[in-house]
Amino acid sequence: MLAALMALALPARAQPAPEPDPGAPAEEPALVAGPAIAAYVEAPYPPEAEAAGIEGTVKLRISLSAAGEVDEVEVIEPAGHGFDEAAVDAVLAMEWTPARTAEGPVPVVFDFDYGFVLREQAPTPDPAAPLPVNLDGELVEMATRDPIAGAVVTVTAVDGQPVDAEALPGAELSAQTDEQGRFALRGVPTGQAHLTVRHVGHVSEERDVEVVEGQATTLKLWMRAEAYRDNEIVALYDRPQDEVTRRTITIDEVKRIPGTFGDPVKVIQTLPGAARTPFGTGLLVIRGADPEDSGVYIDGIRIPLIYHLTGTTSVLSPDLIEAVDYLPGGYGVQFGRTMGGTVNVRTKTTFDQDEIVWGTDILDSQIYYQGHPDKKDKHGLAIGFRRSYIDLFIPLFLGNTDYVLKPRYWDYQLKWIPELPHDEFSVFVYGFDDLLRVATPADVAQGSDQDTQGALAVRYNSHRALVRWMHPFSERLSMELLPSVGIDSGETGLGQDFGLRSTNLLTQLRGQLSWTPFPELEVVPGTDVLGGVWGFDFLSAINIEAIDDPLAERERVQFSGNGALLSPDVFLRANLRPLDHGSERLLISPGVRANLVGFTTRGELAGTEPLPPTLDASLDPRILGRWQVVEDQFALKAATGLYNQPPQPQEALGVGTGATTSFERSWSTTFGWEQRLTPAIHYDVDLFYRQMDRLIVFDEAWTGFGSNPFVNGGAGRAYGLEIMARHDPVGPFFGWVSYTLSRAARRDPYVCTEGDPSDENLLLGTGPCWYRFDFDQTHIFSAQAGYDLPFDFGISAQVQYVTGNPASLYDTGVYDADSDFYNPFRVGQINEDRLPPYFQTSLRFDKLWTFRTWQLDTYVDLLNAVRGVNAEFTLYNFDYTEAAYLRGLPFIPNIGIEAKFYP
Amino acid sequence: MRTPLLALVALASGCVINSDKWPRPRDLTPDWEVSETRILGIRADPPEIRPGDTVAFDALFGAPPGSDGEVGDNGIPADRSVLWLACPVDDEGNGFGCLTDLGDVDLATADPADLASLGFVGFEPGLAPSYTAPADLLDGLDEQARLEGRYVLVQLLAFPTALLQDPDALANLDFSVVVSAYKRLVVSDAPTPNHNPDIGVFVVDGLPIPPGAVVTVEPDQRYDLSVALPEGAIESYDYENSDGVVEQRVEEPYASWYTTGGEMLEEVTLWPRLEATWQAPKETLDRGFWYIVLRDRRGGVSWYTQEFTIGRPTGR
Repeated sequence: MLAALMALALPARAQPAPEPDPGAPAEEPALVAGPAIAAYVEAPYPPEAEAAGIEGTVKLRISLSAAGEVDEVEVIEPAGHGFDEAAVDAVLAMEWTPARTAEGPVPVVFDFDYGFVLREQAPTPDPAAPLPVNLDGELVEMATRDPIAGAVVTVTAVDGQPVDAEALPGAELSAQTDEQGRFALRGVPTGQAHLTVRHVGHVSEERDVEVVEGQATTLKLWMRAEAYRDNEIVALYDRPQDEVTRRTITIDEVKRIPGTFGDPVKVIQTLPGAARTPFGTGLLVIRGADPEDSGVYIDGIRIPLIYHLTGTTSVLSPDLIEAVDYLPGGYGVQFGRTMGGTVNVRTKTTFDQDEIVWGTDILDSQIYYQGHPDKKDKHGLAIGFRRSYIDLFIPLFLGNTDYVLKPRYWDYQLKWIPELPHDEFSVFVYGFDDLLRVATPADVAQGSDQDTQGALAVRYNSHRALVRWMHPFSERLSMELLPSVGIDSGETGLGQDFGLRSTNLLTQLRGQLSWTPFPELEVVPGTDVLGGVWGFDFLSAINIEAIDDPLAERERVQFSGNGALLSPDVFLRANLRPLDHGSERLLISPGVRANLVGFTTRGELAGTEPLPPTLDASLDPRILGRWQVVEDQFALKAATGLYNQPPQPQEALGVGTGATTSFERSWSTTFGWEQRLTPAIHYDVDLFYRQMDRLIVFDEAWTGFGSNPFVNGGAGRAYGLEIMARHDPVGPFFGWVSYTLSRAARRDPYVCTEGDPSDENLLLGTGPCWYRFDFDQTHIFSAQAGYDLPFDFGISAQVQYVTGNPASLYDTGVYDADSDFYNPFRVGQINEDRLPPYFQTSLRFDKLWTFRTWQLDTYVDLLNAVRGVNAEFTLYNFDYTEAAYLRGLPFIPNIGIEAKFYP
Repeated sequence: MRTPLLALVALASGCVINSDKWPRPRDLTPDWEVSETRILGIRADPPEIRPGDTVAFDALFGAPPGSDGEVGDNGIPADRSVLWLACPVDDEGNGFGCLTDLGDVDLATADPADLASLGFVGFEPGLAPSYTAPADLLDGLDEQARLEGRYVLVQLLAFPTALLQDPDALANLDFSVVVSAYKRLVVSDAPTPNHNPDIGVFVVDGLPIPPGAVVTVEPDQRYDLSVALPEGAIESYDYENSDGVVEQRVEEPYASWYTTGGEMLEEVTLWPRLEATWQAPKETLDRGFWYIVLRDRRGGVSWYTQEFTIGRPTGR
């Protein structure tokens, strides 16, 4: 703890900014800036004292945190007459700028004199009546143009000669700016006046201005913030208060991590519990769960994909994102239909700063606006649009060929937030469209099949419109409703002979009441209703059942299916806070969620007779707890519960028969603790175990139309240890280290039957029933850090080390002379081998340029500057006697700029 | 100051640590390259038979000239013996044909009848492979199924002849030294049974090559290789679809191209483009082979082997 004594003697109604005490202890790091009042609150004069004509000064000792929060106010010399209470209340209500050393903000303890002086004095002849204002103006921050309050503007010289206010009766040559940043000086001598402007947190300014006799001069002064990046601190990965795992990273940090392309969502893959997935896939593998077992939400509404098809950027503008809730496990009942982790991307709920952002890098370009177009702050509006242009650049590298490789994506967002007196209300519309087209020249065969020629095209798009309405009925009862509608559609095609087109119209309604009958109890009943209609058309030049027979006669297959879906889940949760009248010291939160799902299947998929509707239900009891053993220093946390997940759409459909698959299930348990070691450094540890059963797997005995190709026959387990240590962005340094030690495995009934060694399957072999999960990564380590250099330069780096993914090993093949392909012989068990470990280091250099009305952030990302083999997949030669690795991304220098305008 | 600067330059230039010794995809042997003994095709003649009919098999082996496995006049590699098996695919969906354990058989002393009962249909050199489909193979099938027929899976194993002297090694075959392949033989009552396609003439840069001739080419040059099919090589046939409608269909064959030297710029071409470009190596070569295998997608197969030599450049 750093302590500094501050001796401040401040009048009650005009308090200058505190100055650092030169007598601060020598062994402590020197303060470069003392604490300052960012928003002054005037204490009411105690009526009795005022009536009695009593004045007084209260000497206070204030403990101010590095975040600028007043931790404690102690009256060390009381003045009585109600002065003490009034002064303490005023200090607590003020907003403060923390003290700073060269390392950044630090907590301080300082003395503060709060004086009460009667304003109305008996009129006495004033030999120095105030002179008129002849120099005034406003002071704003460069770029943001926010008014700067509490700055001191002083005339120090006129025509090169120092001036002394004492010698100029009635003159005021120094003034403090008010809340609007305005100042006024009186009686400034005519001539070339030299002004100095000082304010904690901003770079001092000096300026000359001509003062003309008989005229008032009005100025606009600009100050440059010492650190603009602090303005962007917004909590990311911050657990909701009623969840277990807490991880906080700021947007500014996120933007400066190389390899994330400035995308907040992308940083999830640097956090504990998230496995590394191959580049370009954008998969989320959390605590050993399959990618489809983790749910992705935007403002609580489920979306099918969070990343564009390149896997590098999320489908939302990063400037609209306020926070990302990353819940790897042990989350409450408000989230359901998933066995794995949950990621909820929250968009901004207010637009404090009007701004226009244009950014571009090697992948895409985006434009974003947020602000209040009505100028009355009654309507907040955000509009964003982004489009990739790699599809425009790739042909330049392919040269003059007929080869086609065109990945393209775009997305848009529109959010409107009207200001209402009591309620919170917003309308949010967003969507994205991804396309990938790959084609070879017409005279180049794609394999040996006439029916697999032509361009491969994959297109996916999703659009949502949602309304959020939060209404407080009283202090103890409030309601939140989130109705939404959306459409997801996808198309996959290969030439003229293969195609799958699907369209889903979905509506989702989330709603919950929060009732707090006592401070110690909050009851949250809620509903999560998902419904809609689905449909698809399928075309294949090859009848599916004969797809592995190279001599089978081709018969074009074309059919469609459609139906309706309804899943009206309900949940009930109680948040118990039994200590200290409902404080967050201890939270115990039991809950239960009822999962209901029903759907119908019609169309040619169903066969000639309509299939009966499928109905299924399950129950998820869960409980989680969090105990701050030492407040804000050490906390224990634990959670356990059941997580049922309905079948994926393709697994649930009846294929000429009623669906036979039911919920997949996971029992998830987690335990851990968090500890803050210093004001800036803290860590957390999680131990987890996840037991999965009834996993849906392909039925090897599937006989085609009339039977269901999937069964609830698999099982899985995952367990591990997660550690995250973090240095908050206090001072010029930030960074975090995360490490996951884990094991994940699966069991498939068609690999073997437990305890029956004679149950052989010639394709899959025999052996232990449990085999490694496809993304079982024993060690996942990542470290990222950044450092602010002078003149708004910055440097940051990232290091990742991950155990290679499991892989099956093949060493030879048998030649199918009819298809001209080799069938491989696997060596050992499924996933018995491993790819080499993944290792990469990336660097980033950036420089922020600040101008009066805008800023320009320029950066160079050196992605994979140092790297290992980084095998993503094993490739074999034609007969599986030779193997090679398909490597991940090579070294990529990514140059980008982002311009931010403040209209 | 100098060390950090050097480190920064190294980082900025992008480098791979951990000695990237692993092969890259481009290092894998391409499918068209015959650099060791391979099976390039299996042919049944005729490719589709009726129950009770007899069919003969042969295989196209490819091997680099001068290697131990160079293919002799008998069509098999010099250092290998070839075992042929044929078994009907059973009704239970077993697609593996003969499940014969070679450890149960002493090839040197076994009775031919016993071998036949285990699915042995040929042993080369010595016993040319042939197979007679059981007369009752289609019994029990309905008319539609009989028209579609059943598969007999024909398997061949080309193992080093030296293994014949080592029963244990034969019983525990190391598949890394064995070349193995399989093919489906259609046994049906189809009214228009399939035939193997004919390859009429091999053409190099537009010049038809007489059978048996050796083509002399120049180093580091590109040549257009093609085959000209005789009239009627592309068959028409009837197919009754699942709706019971009889369709007349025309074969759409494709060609697979191989070489023992140089580089094939296409490894597969589709009808009607039965041509490929070959890049000659930069060095002279005494002997080399081009192979083309033509498949009609119905089980019919033909192939053509053309010898070439790479002489000195003549300023072509």
